[in-house]
Amino acid sequence: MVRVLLVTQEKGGVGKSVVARALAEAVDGAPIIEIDASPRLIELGDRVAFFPMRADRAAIERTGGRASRAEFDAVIDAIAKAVAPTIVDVGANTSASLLATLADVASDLKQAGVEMGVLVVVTAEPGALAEAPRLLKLSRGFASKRFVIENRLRGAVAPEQLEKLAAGAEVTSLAEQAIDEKASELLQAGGFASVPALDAGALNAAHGVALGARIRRDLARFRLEAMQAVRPAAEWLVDA
Amino acid sequence: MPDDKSRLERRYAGAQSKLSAAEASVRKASASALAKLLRLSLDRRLRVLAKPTPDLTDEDRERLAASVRKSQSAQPHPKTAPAAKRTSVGSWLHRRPRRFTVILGLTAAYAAMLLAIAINNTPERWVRFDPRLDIDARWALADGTPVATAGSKYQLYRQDGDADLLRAWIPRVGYAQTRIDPASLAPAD
Repeated sequence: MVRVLLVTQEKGGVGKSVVARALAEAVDGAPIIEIDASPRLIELGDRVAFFPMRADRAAIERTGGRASRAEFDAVIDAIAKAVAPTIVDVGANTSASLLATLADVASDLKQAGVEMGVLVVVTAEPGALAEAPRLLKLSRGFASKRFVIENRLRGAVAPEQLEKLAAGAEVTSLAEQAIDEKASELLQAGGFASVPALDAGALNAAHGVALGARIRRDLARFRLEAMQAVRPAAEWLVDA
Repeated sequence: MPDDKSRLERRYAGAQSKLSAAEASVRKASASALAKLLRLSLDRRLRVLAKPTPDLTDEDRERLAASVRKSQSAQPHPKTAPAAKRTSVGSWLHRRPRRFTVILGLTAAYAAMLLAIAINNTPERWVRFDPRLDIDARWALADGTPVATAGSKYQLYRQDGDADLLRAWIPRVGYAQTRIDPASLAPAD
């Protein structure tokens, strides 16, 4: 069996791409399926198979999800053809429709040798907190392992609330990151993949030794902490 | 698969060593900045510490603060009024004794003036007109405006030659005064 892990959350801006990038750093070389309105994981090059999602939220709600499901055929085919541990980064407003569709074809995927896992990213926001239990419930029938990552970029979720919504899923947390503004710009441009290759000399020449060193430290710390937050999911992914 | 697991372990170890190396660079840059700052005068080091010091680690900022404390304690103590110099007021007194004397004198004169006004305006006693007499008192405000008063008790606040000066408070108007023959007055109850 080959394992496929879906990174999900219906609400946007919760750090799904950060989590997907951290998984890509942890599971070196793992193929990535990206489903979104436009490609984001550009720095990962040909590791990424991008599937555009054109249906907007209004269309999805108006058609009861049919508008997005029609676009999932190619995604499901790509999942069925996975031959190595694969990360699926599911864009906002798409997770619930995709999970519902995957539930319908779960037995076919199992027959194709695919074992599914689901990771839900949650922040301390009402929208994200409301969606997380729904997504976990939708995946209960076909996901052999479920994970929740509490991204504290908007503060911590109350522990009892987190435990309740996780409903047995494995929970980890990613601390809020305080990084230098220049470091943030570099992260936007190159993602975590660019961190190991940062040129200390060039950074020092551009920003001075002290700021250059802080930029490298902030980025290395963020990358490591994000990798630690996804570690249980990464270990599951390669433990087939 | 074992290969995948060991590869995963190596990725995490690599990320950890990247962070350790970056932290070492930050500490080195901070130590270099601290060495330069420690050569500055006490005043300049104080100005540095008054602002955030992102180029210093927390530990090096504390070292800079410790150097300031050490420099301050090494400064000679003043020869006079050491206790007074510990406060800002005391320090000012110590530096400007003449100005302090002038301000103290002005304050004392102002206080004496207020005391004199208070004594001058304090009534000697309360009086009323002798009820057996039909007295036609002419009351006026301080500016001379004639005014009528009500009431039966008045303040005798000064004797002016053969007459007594009486004062009565008229609400929202002020004090009214009149001069009256002392023989027309009786003590108030």
